[in-house]
Amino acid sequence: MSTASMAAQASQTTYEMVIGLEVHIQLKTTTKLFSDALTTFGADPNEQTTPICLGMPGVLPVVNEKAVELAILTGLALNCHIAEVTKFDRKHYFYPDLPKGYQISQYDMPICYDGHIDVLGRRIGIERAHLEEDAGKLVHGGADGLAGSTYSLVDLNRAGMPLLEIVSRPDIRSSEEARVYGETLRNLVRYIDVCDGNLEEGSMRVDVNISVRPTGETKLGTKTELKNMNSFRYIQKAIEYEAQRQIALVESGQAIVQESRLWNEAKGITESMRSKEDAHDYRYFPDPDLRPLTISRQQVDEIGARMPELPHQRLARFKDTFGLSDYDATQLVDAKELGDFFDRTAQHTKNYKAIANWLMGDITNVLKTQQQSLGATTLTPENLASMIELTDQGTISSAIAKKLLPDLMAGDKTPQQLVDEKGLAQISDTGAIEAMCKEVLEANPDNIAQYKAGKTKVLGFLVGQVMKASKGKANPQMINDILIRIIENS
Amino acid sequence: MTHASISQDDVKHVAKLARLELDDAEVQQLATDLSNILGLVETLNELDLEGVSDTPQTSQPALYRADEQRHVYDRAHLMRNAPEVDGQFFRVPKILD
Repeated sequence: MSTASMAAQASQTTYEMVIGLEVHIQLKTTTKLFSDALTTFGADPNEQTTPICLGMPGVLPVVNEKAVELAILTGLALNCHIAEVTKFDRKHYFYPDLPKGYQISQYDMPICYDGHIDVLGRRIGIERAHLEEDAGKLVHGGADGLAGSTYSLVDLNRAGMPLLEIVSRPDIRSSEEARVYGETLRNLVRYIDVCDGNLEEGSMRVDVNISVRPTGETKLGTKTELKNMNSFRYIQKAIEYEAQRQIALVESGQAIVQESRLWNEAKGITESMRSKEDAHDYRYFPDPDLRPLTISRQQVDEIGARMPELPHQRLARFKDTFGLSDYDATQLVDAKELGDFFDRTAQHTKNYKAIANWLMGDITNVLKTQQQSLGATTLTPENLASMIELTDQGTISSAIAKKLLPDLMAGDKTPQQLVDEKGLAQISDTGAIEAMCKEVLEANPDNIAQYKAGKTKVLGFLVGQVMKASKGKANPQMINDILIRIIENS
Repeated sequence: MTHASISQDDVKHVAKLARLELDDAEVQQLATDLSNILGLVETLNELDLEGVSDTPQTSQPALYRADEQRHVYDRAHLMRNAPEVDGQFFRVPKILD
């Protein structure tokens, strides 16, 4: 039950949440937005800096062309308009994470605006997406956090990283919708390969603006901002908690303070960051160091022509072309690497359902156990297809196929070679299976009586025993048929 | 034409944002100085700009940079002028919120 309808039972008033998300994605460039410092994750502190990132006097920023292209590609994928003229502005604030005293961002002429994406059947508006540089990282010394610290250490590797801030309209109405919006966005940026979409490493960061109001009210309530949540599950939980907190305040006649709050996962609550709101006077003005960008329609068309298949398009294709269920297709679309592998395997066998089952079942299990990505294994689409064909032809049982999988994922032999070498071909020789069935039945006379008395479920046990005797190689359908024949004729 | 002026309150507000500590005499002096500077800029208003559209920056087309590393800097060299360093980090005094 949603928070809003829970509160409704207590007070007769129903509330709705009004939510907007601000998502920062780090664009996949080799160098920073305005300098040629590298963007590699995990470098030693301050190793990836230049005089520009450090705000040295007299330096001039120059725009990274690739970052602009990736921003346009993202804008197009978000159904945005791409500005014909866009410019950069200085956003001023004094904090050691940006040594020049301002962040280069875009204020009133963002590169992308007025788009939308569809989430759970509803259209969520995208107000704008603008380019800006990231700030550096601080480590506070002498205490656990900023409070009580006696000094801070500054690492400016992240300062100047190219970010695209994607701002949704306040169209989101539930915590689930917010989570799925975020997941949809992450899938999208991964498909078009503009961002890793990694919340933990910070290549994707999500802030949530949330307010509540009585259902039917058109005026917005006072909002709070939930900052820096590093998983979509937390985002959903934080929104649920925050909506309930706000409703409780409204119900008891107290004011909601417009402020930034942090999700405390250990306590399961949001907490005020207690920042002074009057300090947020950014005094934006156009950056005189950077000329406005003129983006030709020809350039937009050229970038649009490079748009790869988007997640919703792949979902439709997997269902229409391969007859996959909505569930299977969604799983394969959400895990892009598995979906790519599916596509390649589908060129070698027509048993599409089996490919999907293998990828989402046993293969995913092995990858999880070994904490590996599919690309790091030796499994090839050809070998997976061949194993499916061998099973379909009855050469090996599905139990044997499962046993072969680890060898296919960490070795260079084909399924046929493994079957030949290990002598795993399924036994479909009637005489051999009949002999094994007889042995098992002789050892279990009680079961024959039970079966004849109508307890046909014992058949499963008997099949299992024969299977075991054959070391998994006997054809299970044949065992089944032969057992029934022997019992009924005895 | 009105003369732009910077009040003492404006000076205090900006000083606070910039984390600057100013005494009353300095506030008064800066209010006067900054007002004079703005006044000087106002002489631009004498230009006839009828029919000229707003241009935030130069109208020259932007220059782009290819996405490649062209220079490699030595960290020790870059950090040499910092007032204080701590290993691989810059070190700054206690941050006042």
